[in-house]
Formats: sequence, C-alpha cells, structure tokens
Amino acid sequence: MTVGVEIRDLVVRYGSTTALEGVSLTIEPGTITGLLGRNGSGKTTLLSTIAAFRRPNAGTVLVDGEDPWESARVMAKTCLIRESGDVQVELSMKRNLEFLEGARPHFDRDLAGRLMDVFELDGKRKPSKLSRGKKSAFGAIVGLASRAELTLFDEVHLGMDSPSRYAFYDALMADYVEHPRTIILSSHLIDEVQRLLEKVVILDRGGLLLAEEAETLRARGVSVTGPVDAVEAFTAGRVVLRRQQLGRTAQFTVDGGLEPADRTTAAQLGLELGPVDLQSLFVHLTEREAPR
Amino acid sequence: MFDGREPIYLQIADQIRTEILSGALGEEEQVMSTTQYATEYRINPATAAKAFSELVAEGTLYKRRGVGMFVAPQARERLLAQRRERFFADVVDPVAVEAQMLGIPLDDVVARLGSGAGLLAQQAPTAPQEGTDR
Amino acid sequence: MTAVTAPTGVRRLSPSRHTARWLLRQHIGLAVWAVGILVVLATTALILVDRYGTVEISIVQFGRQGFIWFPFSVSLISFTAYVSVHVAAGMTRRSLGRASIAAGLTMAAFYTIVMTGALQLERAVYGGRRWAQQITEAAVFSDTSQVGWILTDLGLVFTATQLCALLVGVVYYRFGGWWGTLALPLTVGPILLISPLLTTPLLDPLSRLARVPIAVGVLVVVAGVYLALVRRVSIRPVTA
Repeated sequence: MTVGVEIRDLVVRYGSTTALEGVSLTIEPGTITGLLGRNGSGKTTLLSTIAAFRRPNAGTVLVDGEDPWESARVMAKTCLIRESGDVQVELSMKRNLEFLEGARPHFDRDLAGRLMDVFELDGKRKPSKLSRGKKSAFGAIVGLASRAELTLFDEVHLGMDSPSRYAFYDALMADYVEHPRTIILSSHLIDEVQRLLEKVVILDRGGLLLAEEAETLRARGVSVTGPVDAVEAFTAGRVVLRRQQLGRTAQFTVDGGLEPADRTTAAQLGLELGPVDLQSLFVHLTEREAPR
Repeated sequence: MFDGREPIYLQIADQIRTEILSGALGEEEQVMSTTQYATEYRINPATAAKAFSELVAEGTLYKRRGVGMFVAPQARERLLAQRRERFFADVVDPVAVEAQMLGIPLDDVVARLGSGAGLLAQQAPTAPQEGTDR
Repeated sequence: MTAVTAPTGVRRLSPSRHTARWLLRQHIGLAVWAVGILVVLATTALILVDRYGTVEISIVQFGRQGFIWFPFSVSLISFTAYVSVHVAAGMTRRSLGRASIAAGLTMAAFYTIVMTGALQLERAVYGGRRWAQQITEAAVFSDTSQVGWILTDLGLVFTATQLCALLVGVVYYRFGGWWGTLALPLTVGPILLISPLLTTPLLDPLSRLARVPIAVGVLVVVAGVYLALVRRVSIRPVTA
C-alpha cells in the first residue's frame, strides 16, 4: 500500500523568513518524484513539513489522507533522510540498525547488511567517525532498508563520490521495483537522477514553479538555431528562456510545445530544432538575470 | 545508453524500432520488461511503460497479460513501410536543400546517385561506416 | 503504552516501550560505571580516614551530589541528542515524552535504591566497628535508621534530577542557548529546592509528611511542562 501526499496553500516561516509561500501540489502514490530547486528554494522545508518535522504556519498537508503532525500511523509510514540521516552518532552503525529494526515496522535487516557491504561500511564504526560520503551512504542505507511507504531523500548524495551515488541509484531502483513505495528525491544533480524520475517538482524562491511528468518536461524545451532574423521571427510570441548569438547565427531556447506544422515552418526557414535536456531547462527556468 | 537529450521514452521506442528493423528483435519475441529497464538502465519503469504504450498504439508491440510485451506480427514490415513513406521528406529533401546551399547542381547529385558510388563505399571493408539513421 | 497491532507491521514493541528500553540501556551502563567509581572512592576514603584519623561521619552521604549531577548531565545530553533521532525514526513526540519520563523515573528509582542500600551497608560496617555514622550534609534524614525518610528524600531529589534534565533539554532544544540558559533558575530550581521544601521553616505549620504531596505536586508540574513543550517541538535543521 503506497501513500500519496496532498499539499494545499502551504506556508512555512522561520521567524521572519518565509521559506514556503502558498505551495500546492499532489504526489501520486507509488511514484518517484524529483524535487528540484536552487539553494534556498524551500526543498528541505517542504520535505521536513511532509515528514512532520515541523508544522505549517498555514495551509494543509495530508499524507495518506491525514495530517502527519503527531499521527503515529502516518509518521510510521514516513521516512525522511536528511543528508547523513538523523542517527545516533555516538553509537556504532550496527547498534543504530538494531534500534531502527525495533522502531520501523518494515525494516529489512538483511537488505541493510547487504548495502553495508556494497558501500563498504564497517558496522562496528560510529557515524561520527566517518567521512562525509560514508555518512551519507549510511543515511541512504537507513532510508532504503526502512522500507517506509513514503520515503524522502533530501540531498542524500552530498559528499558521496560518483560510484557510490550510482550504487545508491541502483539499489533504489532494485528495491523500488520489488517493493513499490512513494519516493521523493531532492537533488541538484539533475543529469544523474532524471532517468529515475517519473514526476518532477520544481520549487523556486519558496513557490511552486512547476509540477509535471519528467518526460513531458523533457519534451518542453526546444532549441531553435539559425540566422538571427529567422530565429526571431519564428520565436516571436513564444516564451523564450534563453537567447544566444554568435555573429549572424542565433540559438534561442523556447518553452512550450511545438506543433508538427511548426516543425515544417522551421525547416522552410532553414532553422534547426533540437531538444533541451532537463538540466539546461531547469537552469533557464530558474535563471535570475533577465535573458539578454 | 539513452543518453540523448530527447525524452527517454522516445529513445527507448526508437531503439526497439531499430532492433526490429535490423532483425535483432524478431516477431513474437519478448522485449525487456519495465522492471528490467529499471534495474539494467536505471530508468523509471513508468518511462519504459510510456514507450511501450506508444509502440502498442502504433501496432509495433502487443501485450500478453501477465507475461509481458511482444513484437507484433508484421511489425518489421509496418516499420519499413513507415520509413519508406518518410524517406523522401526526411532524407532526400534535406539533401536537395544542402546541395542548393553549397551551390551543387541537382543534376550532379542525381548523377552521383545513379553511379552507385554511395553503395560501393558502404560495401568496401576499409571505408568508414557513415551513420544513416536520424 | 499499549502494544501496537499494526496490520502491516511486525513491530513487537510500541514506540514508547522501544524508546524507553533504549534510553534505559544507554543510561544503565553509565550508571553502573558511576556507582562502581563511587564505591571505589568511598572505600578508599574510608580506609584513609580510618588510617589517619577517626571515622565519625558517613562517607556514602557525599555521593548525593554526584548522584544528582552526573545523571543530570547524562539524561540531558541523551535527550538533546535523541529528539531528532526519535522523530526521524517515525515515532511521535508524545511517545518520546512518555518514554523519556518512564526511563527517567526508572533511573531515579535505581539511584534511590542504590544509595539507600549503600547507606544501610555503611551502617552495618560502621556499627561493627563502633564508628559513628553522622549525617553532616543537608538532607531530610538525620540518621541512617530513618529508611523511610531516606527513600523519600532521595526519591524526590533524584526524580527531580531526571525530570529537570528533560525540561532543561527541551528548553535548550526548542528555544536555543540564550533562553535555555536564562531559564535555568526555573528549570534546574526544583532539584535544589525539593529537599529544602520538606525542611524549611517557611512552611512551618505543615508537618514534613504533609509537605510530601506538595513536593510531588511540584514534580508533576515539571513533568507536565516538559510534556507540553516536547509535544510541539520542531526538529532542528541539520548542522553539517
């Protein structure tokens, strides 16, 4: 049984700073959603609120149809891994896993053991004595082995080297197909994680920028390359995310689907149309300076 | 694999079509399941499923309940026919445009095609293979 | 603290029980160690005093402060480190409140029994040697034969220790270093005042016995404030 998340008009403040303003979105049960956003966009706050680490200042959060705050049923189904995980740093990793086995209803000790080997972690050592990357790896293991119906990873990759990150993605996918659950993955390594995602949510400066299917998003951006005048003419009236020009050749990045008729028009104008990857699209959509 | 910038489901669909056309995937043969795409290529199963939907809609694959996705009968023939239809618009017309831009008379292009030099170049073992697919 | 019968879970213990046991495990280990040290110190002191002077007073009685401030810091540090872990492991703050109080009361009982027993043991040893076992430190009891008052006095002050440790912990965790320190007179006060409460002339018409419920009332208030604060605590952001 997977769980979904419903968020409506969520407002979260830290003192005088507003971290989230009027965010509304839905997370479908059983999906892997990527949570993207620049630093300070509110990703961590959003995940913390879903996991009942904090209360909203306004708005509603429903996990599996219920307010997660102090709901024993819902909190037991939710697992938020923040960076290296909230573990007892002065106890050995082995003891930490023992603790979690008693705390988490679906904890899989065997999986944890296998993953400890994969990430080359020695259970007798304490998290406080580990490097950043190994701490993160342990956090990832906790998140995977807990088998919570709603699992949230907040930048769990920090400090992990490339092979470790890919080992994590492999372990994530392998477990996801066998034990489906709802996963939200916050990362700024968009290139790496985009294939894992079914849905994408982008936050920008505390607000929701978009929430879409990953594949739809990938099809959204189009780069238009050719003579400047032709490009300008073709893109007039469209949302242009980026303008680049070198001599008499220009490349504009447009946001918004193109009809088949448009493709013909482009060909006639001698323009080349190309796809735009998610990373670039993300950068363009969240750029601060106005396009030149 | 699937590192292009197009949506991944399109890349997967294209790859399956290519394998059918080249004969690597035969009629009634089973294609990789969404789970296998997930564990082998780290691709979300929903994305692979989307590719399959498209291929089923165009008649290239069909689903056997509880078993998986299979190559439909006559799939190769259908794909070839599609390719043939688009050959002139997708492959030949751009040649004409390019030739014009370079100032090459179309008669020269026709002559070259007629001489069969292109086909000879493909058969020669030492000649480098040019990419033909888009 | 009922056992959870979750349809999909295989958890054997409820969150409160699991946490209470876990906290106790942590603390008991340290407690036994502390008691061991005290025994060594007391025995050594006794031998030295006997050698170079006359044994006239109880040595075990000096363990009182040690059995207050050492467990206080253990419980305080344990709590502040544990809040995030507990919530991150999918358990409610309510269950943490219940579990931490249960563990605290258990430890208070442990120290009370250990020290009371030690005083009685000392009484037997001193008696055999015809040494006087005077009580010179401030306490409600003046003689080690007053077992009832020893248990009451130590029980109250060690319970105050545990509950105040939790209260100090939650205040620091929720409100930060500044407010945590400013609030210390209130949050640590009960430990210092609970024993004097029973002996102070300010409440004079009331007998000592009548004051016990008042003291217990103070501890109930401390526990209540702690529970009220812990139920609404926001988990702090991660500090790298």
